[in-house]
Amino acid sequence: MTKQTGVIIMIFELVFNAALVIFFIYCFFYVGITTPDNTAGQLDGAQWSQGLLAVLVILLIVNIIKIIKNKDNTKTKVISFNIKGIITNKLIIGIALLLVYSIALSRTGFLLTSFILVFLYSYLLGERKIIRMILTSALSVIALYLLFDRALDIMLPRGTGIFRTFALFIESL
Amino acid sequence: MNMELLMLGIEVVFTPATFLLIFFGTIIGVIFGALPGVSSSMAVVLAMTFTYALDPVTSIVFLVAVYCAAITGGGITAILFKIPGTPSSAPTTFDGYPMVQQGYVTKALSISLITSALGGIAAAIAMFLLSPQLSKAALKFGSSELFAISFMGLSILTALDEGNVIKTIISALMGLWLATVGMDPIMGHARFTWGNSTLLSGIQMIPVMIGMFAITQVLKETVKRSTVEDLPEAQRVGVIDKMVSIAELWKMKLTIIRSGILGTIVGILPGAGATIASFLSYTIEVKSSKNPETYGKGNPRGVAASETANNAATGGAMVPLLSLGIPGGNAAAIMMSALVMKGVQMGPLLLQRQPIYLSSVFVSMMVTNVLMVVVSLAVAKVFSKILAIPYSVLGPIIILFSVIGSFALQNNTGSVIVMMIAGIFGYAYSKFGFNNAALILGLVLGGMVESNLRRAIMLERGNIMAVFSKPITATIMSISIFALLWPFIKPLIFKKKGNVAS
Repeated sequence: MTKQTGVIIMIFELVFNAALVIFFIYCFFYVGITTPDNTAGQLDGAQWSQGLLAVLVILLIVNIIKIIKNKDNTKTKVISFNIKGIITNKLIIGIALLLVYSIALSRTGFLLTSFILVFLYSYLLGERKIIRMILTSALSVIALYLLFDRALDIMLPRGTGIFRTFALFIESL
Repeated sequence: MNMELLMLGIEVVFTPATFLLIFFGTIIGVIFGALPGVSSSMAVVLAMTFTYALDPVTSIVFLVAVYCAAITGGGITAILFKIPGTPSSAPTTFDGYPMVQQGYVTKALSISLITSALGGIAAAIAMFLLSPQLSKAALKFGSSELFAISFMGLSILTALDEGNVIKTIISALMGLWLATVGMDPIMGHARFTWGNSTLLSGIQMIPVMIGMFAITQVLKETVKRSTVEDLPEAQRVGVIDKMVSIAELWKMKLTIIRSGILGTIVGILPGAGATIASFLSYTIEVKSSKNPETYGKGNPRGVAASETANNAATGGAMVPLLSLGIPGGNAAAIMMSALVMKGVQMGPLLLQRQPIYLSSVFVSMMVTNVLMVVVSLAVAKVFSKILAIPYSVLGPIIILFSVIGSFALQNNTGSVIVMMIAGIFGYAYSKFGFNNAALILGLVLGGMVESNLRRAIMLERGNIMAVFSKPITATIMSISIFALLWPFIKPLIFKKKGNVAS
């Protein structure tokens, strides 16, 4: 099911810039519609934002033109990517781990979620000794929990339902 | 007056709890700063988590200690392993590492640490003397002048990043735009909230900073790790390696004085910081030397120039922060956010109403600069062991610190999500050549720039020309526009000169 596609890295930069241009044009009109009309003798909040957005859009377009113009001079790095390539890409996995962690944190609590994150992220960073990974995960999470939750009174998320019960059990130890 | 002020600072810093905090800050600062992949800004942002339970004065005193120590710590790995722990220590590698290769490990380290301390102390004194004067002068400023000063802080960034002018301006403008999200500071209307009540209070600066400094760096390290070379086998035949003597330091006095002054001035400039200070100082040192060929081959003056200047910049950076409420760089921006979060009103009135901030920061810097020499020497001795901590352990711990730092702000996991998104965005942003520091500075200064400009226009009843024709405003704006256009003007001037010469 893998389809080899040649992708030039410059395209990512162009897409990034183009996405920002589209978003800022949308914001330009959005703020104009959603804020009340200008009061005479004043620079109102919408005008200030619109001024910034207008300059931003112009400069981003200049930047896009520059990228296209420079395409012959710059060494474009051709990367071949396929489904397997994406799944095994360290950056993609790292980003996915961070996003899943931040979303799950409120439900599953700090102790358990962080243990899993540290375990998986240290594997991603090249650690292969399972005992060391378990020890690192457990010790770092417990040490930080004791330091912040107990010593500095910064309450960390406990999660909900069974995870909250688990956190309370750990805390009672 | 100054003696009273000094006593005030001594009273704060020399309470056992605060002194211990400074000591702790110095240790973690040196260690964080020395670890490759942990910059001084990241050290300050991670240490900020410890300040949530502290009062504002103790918080700034602690963060200043971490900042000064982190800049110094960066020199340890630069000398021992040719890897600058912080970007500002990069020029230290040029002569520090060759000195180690020749067998002068202790000498190189002691020069680095002592000159760092001297630079830091000199800059702290400059800060103590200059800040009240600047703050008094700034009290006479109105909205238009304050707008012009904030604008100057942003415009200088482009002159410092000449290779990337458009992207730097885009980054600063994006920061300014992000600062407009939330409630309009003058009229109270909601902007860019899309009906979301959380966005009404604006983009949370601290999670964004933590994300862009810490998470972005962890992602970078995930893709490409910084490697540590083994300590080289020194050619020790006939080499007597010992601490630098006072006589040797005296021979370098001009280098130390020159670099101290330069570092302080560069630190004061908004947008410039320790990195620019150390590179500039090293370059000037080489150019003004009678034996420029000895630099890069283990000349102790090269180490002294770089380390004096980058530590002097720390004191310099505190001048605009304390006297005007304008951060001189990333670390100062983080400290400012930490104070604003605690309800401290930054600006020229701060030092007039609460001089304790200046005196405490001054005493903290003096104490830290002395403590860090001892701490760094001890840390350097065990550093090969500390550096043996693999990034597979360090990286996840940095993530956890970042999570706690963001969560503890409002006891809200929403801040953690904002921090993660900022980190991921920051990675893409820096990968495509944009300037994260400019974005952060824009975000921090955004509110000030907007409120002051709009207030100034309101006071002049909409007459924009009247706002910009005031003498001080016009002068500062002219400098700012010159700085903004400098990268475009510079090639034209040099081309003309080249034509004349040919």
